[in-house]
Amino acid sequence: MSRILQPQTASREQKAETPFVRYLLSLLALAIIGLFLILPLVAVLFEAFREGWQAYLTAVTDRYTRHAILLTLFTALICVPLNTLFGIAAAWCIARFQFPGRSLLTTLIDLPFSVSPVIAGLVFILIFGAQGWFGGWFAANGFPVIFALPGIVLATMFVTLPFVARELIPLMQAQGAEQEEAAIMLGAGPWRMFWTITLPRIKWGLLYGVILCNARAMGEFGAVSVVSGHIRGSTNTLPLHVEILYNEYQFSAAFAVATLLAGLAIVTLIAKSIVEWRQQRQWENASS
Amino acid sequence: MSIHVNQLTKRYGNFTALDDISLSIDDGELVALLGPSGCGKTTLLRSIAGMEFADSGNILLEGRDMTFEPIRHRQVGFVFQHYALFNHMSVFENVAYGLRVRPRAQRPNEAAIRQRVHELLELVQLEWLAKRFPPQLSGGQRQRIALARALAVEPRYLLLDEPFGALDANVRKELRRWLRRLHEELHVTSLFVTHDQEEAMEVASRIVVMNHGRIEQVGTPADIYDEPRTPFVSSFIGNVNVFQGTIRSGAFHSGSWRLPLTDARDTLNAAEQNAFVRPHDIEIVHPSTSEWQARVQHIQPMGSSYHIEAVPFADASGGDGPQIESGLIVIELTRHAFKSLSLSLGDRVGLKIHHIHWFQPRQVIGKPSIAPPVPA
Repeated sequence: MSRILQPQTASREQKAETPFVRYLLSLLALAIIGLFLILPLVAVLFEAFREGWQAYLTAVTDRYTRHAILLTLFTALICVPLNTLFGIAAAWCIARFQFPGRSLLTTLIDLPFSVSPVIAGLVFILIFGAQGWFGGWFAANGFPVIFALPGIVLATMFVTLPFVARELIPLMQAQGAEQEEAAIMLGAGPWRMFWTITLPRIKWGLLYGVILCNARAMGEFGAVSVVSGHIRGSTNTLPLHVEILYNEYQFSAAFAVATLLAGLAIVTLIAKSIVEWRQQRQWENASS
Repeated sequence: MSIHVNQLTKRYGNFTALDDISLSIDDGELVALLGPSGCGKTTLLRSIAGMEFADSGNILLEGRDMTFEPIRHRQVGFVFQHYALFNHMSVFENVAYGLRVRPRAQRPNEAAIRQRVHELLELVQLEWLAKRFPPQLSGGQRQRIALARALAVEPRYLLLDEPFGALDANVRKELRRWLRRLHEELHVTSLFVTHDQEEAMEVASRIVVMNHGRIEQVGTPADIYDEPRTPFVSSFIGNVNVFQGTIRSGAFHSGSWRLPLTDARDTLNAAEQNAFVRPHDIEIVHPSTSEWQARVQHIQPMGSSYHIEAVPFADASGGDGPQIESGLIVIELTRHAFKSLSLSLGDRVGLKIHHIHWFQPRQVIGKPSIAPPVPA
C-alpha cells in the first residue's frame, strides 16, 4: 500500500534547498521524463502519421492487423480472468493460513518476474515443442501447443501470473482476518463471507492488479515471440505484428500499429490513476 | 446456558498455550479470565468460540459436547479486541449482518430486521448513529456497536476479548459499569478476557486467574483478593510485600527480624515460608512499640490513599534486617491515617503487621493448589 499512499510531506524539505538547486533538480527530472517517456511517444505518433491519415488507416485496418488485434484481445480475455482467480486464491492462502510450503509458494509467485520472458518461452518449447516432452503427443492428437494459440496463452499466463497476487498479498496481510472471523462468528458461510466482507475490502487493490495484468497480457513480447512462430493471420499478436512490419521496412505501418499499443498504455495509465485515486479516497475516509 | 471446559490442552510447537484446563461456568454468570499476556486466556476464549481447536480435552455447552462443532452451531456472540466492525458497511448494516446471513428459512423479513436493529441500537444508546460508518465513530461507540452486533443473533453465550483494552481510562470506567448493568438486564452467560485486575474485580461476579496456560484460582473477587491460593495470585491481584524466612518455635524469622505468631493458623509446621503482606495490612506505629523498624524513604500520594516506601532497619543487635524481594517495604495508608501520623521523609517508624498469607518458596511454579470443579 505504501506505493499508493505516498504522503505529500515533501514541501517542508523543499524549502531547505536553495531555489537554484530546486530548479536544477526539477529540470533534470523533467528532462529525463521527456527524453525517456515523452519523446518516444511523440516519435511513435510522428512516424505513424508521416505518410498521412490514409496510410495510417490502411495500416490499422489491414486484414493481418485486425487479426492481430483480435488475437491479442482473445489472449487477454483468457489470461486475465484466470490469473485474477489464481491471484485471489493464492493471496487468500498466503495471507490467511499457515501451511508447510507457504513461503515457497510466495517465492514461486514471484518467479515470472525474475525469469527472462525469453527463457519462459523456451521452457514451454522444451515441454510442448515438436522435440519436447509432450509436444509430439499433443500434436499427434490434433492439438498443437507451440506455434499455436495454446502456446501463446500459456506463455502469457506465465508472464502475467504474479500481478494480481502480488497486489493482494500485502493488502490482505495488512487488513488481517478479524473482520472475516467476525462474519463467521455471526453465522456467515465462507462463500457469503467472501462476497460480503473480503471482496468489498480488496476491490480497489484487485482492480489495480487486474489493470496491470491486462496491460502486460496485451503487451507481452518476449515469451510470446518464442512460442508463437510469427505466423501472420494466425499466431501474430499486436507486439509481434509491429516487429514484423518493422523488419519488412514498412516503418509507417509499424508505427501506426504501435500507436494502438501506445493508446492501450495510456488508457491503462488513466484507469490506474482513477483506481489509485479511489483507493486513496477510501483510505482517507477510513482514517478520518 | 452453562459452559464446561474439560482438561483442555493446546500447544503451538513448543509453547503450551493451554495446559489441562478445566472450568465450569453456570448459566447467567459474568466471568473474567484474568492473567498476564501470553497466559492462554485468549486461546481459551477462542477455543470456546470455535475459532481454535484444542489438541485434547473437550468443551461442553449446556451439557452437549461441542468440541468439534462448527462455530455456527455454538450460538456464541463474540466481541473482538479491536471490534472488527465492517468498515465498508453502515452501523445499521453491521448490526443487521448476523440476521441477513441466516439461512433463508430462518431469516427475518426486512421490517423485522429493521425493528430488531433499532432495538439493539437503543439498548446500546446509539440509535442516532445508525447511518454512520465505523471509521467515523469514537472508540467507546465502536465498542458498543460491536456488542450490539454480537447480540443481534441472540447468542446464548457472550464472549469478549479484552473488551476495554483499546479505550481511554475514562471511557473504560464508564463502559465497565455499563457492561455490568447490561449483563444484569440480559442475563446472558458472559465470559471476558482481561489483563487488568481492577477491571476483573469491578465487572465480574467470578474471576478465573490464569498463568502459563494453567488456572491458578477460581473465585469471587473477594475470595481471590482475601484468600489467594498461590503466590502468583497474591502478587498479580494487587500489590504485596514478600518477606522470605522460616517459622520456628512460634515465630517467623526473616533475616534478623522476628515476628511472634499468635494466631494458631499462622504457626504452620513447614520450616521455610514466605510471608505475603498487602501494603494496607501494615500499620505504622511509634518506633518504641515495635521490633520492626524502618526509615521512610518516599511518600507517594495516590489520591484516596498514600503509598509509603520504607527501608527496613537492622535490629538493635546489629543483624542484617529482613529478607525482602524488593529491598523495600511498601505501606498503604488511608488519607486520614496519613494526616494523623504527620510523616515526613527520613522518619524512623515502627511497623505492625496485621494479616499474612503464607506460601512455601518455590510453590510459584506448580499445579494450582486447588483443582477447579469438573462437570459430572
